[in-house]
Amino acid sequence: MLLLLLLAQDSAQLSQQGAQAIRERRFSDAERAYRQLLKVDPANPAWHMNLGLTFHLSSRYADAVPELQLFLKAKPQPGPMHLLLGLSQLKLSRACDAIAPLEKARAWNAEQSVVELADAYYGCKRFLNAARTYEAALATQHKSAAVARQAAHCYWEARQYPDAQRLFATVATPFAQDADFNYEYGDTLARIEGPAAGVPYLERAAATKPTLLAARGELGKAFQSLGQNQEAIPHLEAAAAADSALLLPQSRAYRAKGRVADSERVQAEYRRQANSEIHWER
Amino acid sequence: MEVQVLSSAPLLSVLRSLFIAFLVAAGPGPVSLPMTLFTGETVRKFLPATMPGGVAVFDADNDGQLDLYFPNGAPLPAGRKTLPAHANRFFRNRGAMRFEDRTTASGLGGTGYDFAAAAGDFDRDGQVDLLVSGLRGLTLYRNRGQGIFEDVTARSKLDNHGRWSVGAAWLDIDNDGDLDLFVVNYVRWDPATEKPCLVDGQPDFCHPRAYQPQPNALFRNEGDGTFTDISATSGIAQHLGKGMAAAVADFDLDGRLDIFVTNDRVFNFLFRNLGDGRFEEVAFACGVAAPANGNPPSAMGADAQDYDNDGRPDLIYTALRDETFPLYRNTGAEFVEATVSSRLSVLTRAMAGWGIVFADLDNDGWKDIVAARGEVLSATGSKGALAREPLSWLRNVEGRQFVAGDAISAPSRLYRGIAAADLDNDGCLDLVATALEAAPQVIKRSCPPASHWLEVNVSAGARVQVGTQWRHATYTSGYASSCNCPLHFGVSAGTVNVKVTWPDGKQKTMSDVPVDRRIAVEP
Repeated sequence: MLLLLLLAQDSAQLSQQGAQAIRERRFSDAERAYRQLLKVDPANPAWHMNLGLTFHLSSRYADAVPELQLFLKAKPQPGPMHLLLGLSQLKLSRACDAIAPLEKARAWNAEQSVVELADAYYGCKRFLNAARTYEAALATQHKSAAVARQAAHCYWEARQYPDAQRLFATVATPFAQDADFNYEYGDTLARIEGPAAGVPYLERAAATKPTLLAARGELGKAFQSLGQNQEAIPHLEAAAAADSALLLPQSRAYRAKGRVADSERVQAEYRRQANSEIHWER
Repeated sequence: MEVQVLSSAPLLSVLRSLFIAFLVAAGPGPVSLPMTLFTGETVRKFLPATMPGGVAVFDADNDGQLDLYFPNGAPLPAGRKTLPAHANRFFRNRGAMRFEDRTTASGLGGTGYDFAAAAGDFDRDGQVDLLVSGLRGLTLYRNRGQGIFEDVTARSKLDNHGRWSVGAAWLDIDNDGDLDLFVVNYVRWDPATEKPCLVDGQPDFCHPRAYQPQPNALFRNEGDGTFTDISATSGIAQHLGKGMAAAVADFDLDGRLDIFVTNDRVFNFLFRNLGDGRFEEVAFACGVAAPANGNPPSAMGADAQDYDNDGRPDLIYTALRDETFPLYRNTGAEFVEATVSSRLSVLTRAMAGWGIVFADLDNDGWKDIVAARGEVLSATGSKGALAREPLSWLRNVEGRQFVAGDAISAPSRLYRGIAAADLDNDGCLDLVATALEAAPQVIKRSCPPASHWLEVNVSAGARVQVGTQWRHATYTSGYASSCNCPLHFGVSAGTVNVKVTWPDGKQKTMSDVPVDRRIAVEP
C-alpha cells in the first residue's frame, strides 16, 4: 500500500512536471516525464494523450500518431484528440487517414475542425465531400473568399458544374486576375452554358499565364467548337504537348483550314499515342 | 393499377410460382409491369450487375399489337437463374395498354444471366424470332407462332465462345434476303480475378480499364436455320473493343448496311460494309472514333437515324456525366460532330445515359431524342440517390437544335434500355424503359390533338421517305434493346407521298397516301 502511495505521489509529480514542460515548450522534458509515467502505468490513456500532444506540438507528427491512436482506442468519444490526430495525419500528407478522426472531431466541434476536414477530403481527392465541407465552412467563422474559391474549385474537380458556377460567381471580383480561377470558371461556363460563355475567361487565363496549358487546351477546344479554327490552332498546338488527347482537335482544326498533311500527321500521332496508352489493356 | 390474375390454376400453385399470367391495365400514369429487373448486385460489386438490361418490342403473335420481352439477370458470380424471379419475361400486348405475362407459355424464361434481346425473323417464316445475349453466351428462340418459342441455339450453330455480350443486331449484310447477326461483346469478365474497387472510398463497380477487351462477332445466316461464324473472315474480329451497343444503317447509302459500335472508354468502331462479306473499320476516317475533345468517353447506347431530314442517317450515343451525348451529322462525305451546335453539349452535360433513340414524340415531323438515364455506379455507393436519374425527352427544333422537352412521367431510376413504339395503336409513340432492381415502365404518351402520323411496315434494311422525312428500317434500339416495329412518322393532315428503297436498289413510290394509318409496303 505504501509503495502504491509513493508511486501515486511520484506519478502526480511527474504529470505536473510534464504539463509544465509542455506549457513552457520544453518538449524533451515533457517526453521524458510521460515516458516515465508510461513505464509505471502503460495502460493509462492520459499519458499516451499527453505524449501524443507533446510530439504534435514539437512537430514530431509520425511519433504523435501512434500515441494519439492508443489514447483514442481507449477513449473513442469524439473530442479534441481526434482533431489533433487528424492534424498530425494531414501534416504527414496522409490525407485519407486524416478523414476518420476529423469526421469524429467535427462531431465534437464543427467550427474548429470543418476546414481541416475539408482539407483532408481534398487531399484524398474526395472532391465532392471536400466541396460540401468547404461550403459548410462558409456558414461558420471561416467565411472568406479563399474558402469560397476552394469550395468552387472542389465542385469543379468533382464535375458538379452548376454548384461550381454558383460559387465561382461569388468570387469573380477578388480573383479576376487569377489565371487558375479564370481557367476553371471559363471551363465551367463553357460546359454548362456553351463555349462562347467560357471564351472570355479562358482567354484571360491564357493571356495572364501562357504556361497554363490546360487553359489553353480548353480555349482551343472552345474556339474550335465555335468554328474559329485559326484561333484554336496555336492554343491546341501548345497544349497538346501536355495532353495528347488534344492532338485530335488539333488535327481537325488543321483539316478545317486545309492543312491536310498536318492534319494527317497529327492524327497519326494521336492514334499512336492513344494505342500505346491502351496497349496494356489488350 | 389493377392487377388481375387470369390463370385458372389453383391458387396455391399460382402462389408457388411467379410464372403466371398477369394482366396489367393502364392507369393514368406509367404502367409498372409486374417484374423486377434482377441484377444480382452484392457488396462485391461484380461488374455484370450494373449492365442489365434491355427490352425487345415486337409483334410475337402477329395480332397487330406490339409485345414486350425483358432479359433478366441472375445471382452472381454464378450467372445461373435459380428462382422464378430471375426469369426473362414476356408480356403479350392485349391492347389498350394492357399486358399479360406469358413467360411460361412462351418458353422464353431463359437459364443464364441475360442482358439484351434482338427481335428479327431469321428464318423468314413470317414470325419474329428472338436472339438473347448474355454473360456466357447466346440463345436463339424460334417463333413457332402464337407467341410460342423454341430454343434452337444448338441447331443454329451460333456460338459466341462464352463471351459476354450486351447487345445484338439483326441485319442483312449480304442483301440475300435473310437476316445475319452481329453480336456486341463487352469485356472479359472472370469473377475469380475481379478485384474490389473503391469510388470515393466506397465499394463500387470497377472502371472498364480493369478488364480486357473482346472482339465482336458476326454470323452469316445460311438460310437453312444455321449460321456460320464469319467474325474473322469479315475483318470484324480483328478489332478488339469494349462493345456496348450497335447502331445499324446504310451510312454511305451504297445499298449495304454498315455497323457503328460504341466502346466503353476506347475508340468506337464504324464497320463499313464492303459488300463481299468483309468490313473495313473506318471510324477515324469518318470522324466518329472519339468526340472532338479527343477523349474516348464511356460510350453506351447508340442510335442511327436521320434527325435533320436530309436523307442520310446520323448518329448519336449516350455517355456518362460530363461526357455529353455526342451527336454526329452525316454529311455524305463524313460525320460532323454537332454536339455543341445542336446544344446537346449543354443539355446532356449533367446526364449519365444508357439507352437512346431518335423518335418523333410529338408528331411534328422531326425526330426527337429520348434517353434512358442512370449512373453506372451503384446506388448503394458514393453516388447514393444521385445515381438515379429520370428519362429525358430532347425535342428536335427543325433539325438544327435540341431543347428540353416536357418531363416524362416516370420516376427517377437507374434506367438502362429504352424503346419507342406505338403500343396502343393511337398514332403516338409510347415508351418502354427498363431500370435496375425496378419494374419496367410502360409510358403511354399523348400527342398534340391536331397531329397526324403514318406508320410503315417494311423489311429490314429498307429506307423509307415520307414527305421530307427519312427512316431506315433497322431493329436496334439504344442499349441492349430492339424494336422490330413499324417506322413511325409524324406528318401533316391530308395525304403524303411515300417512297421505299430496298438495299438491292428496288424502289416503290406511292402518292397521296392517307395519313393516320399503318401501311405495309413490299417490294
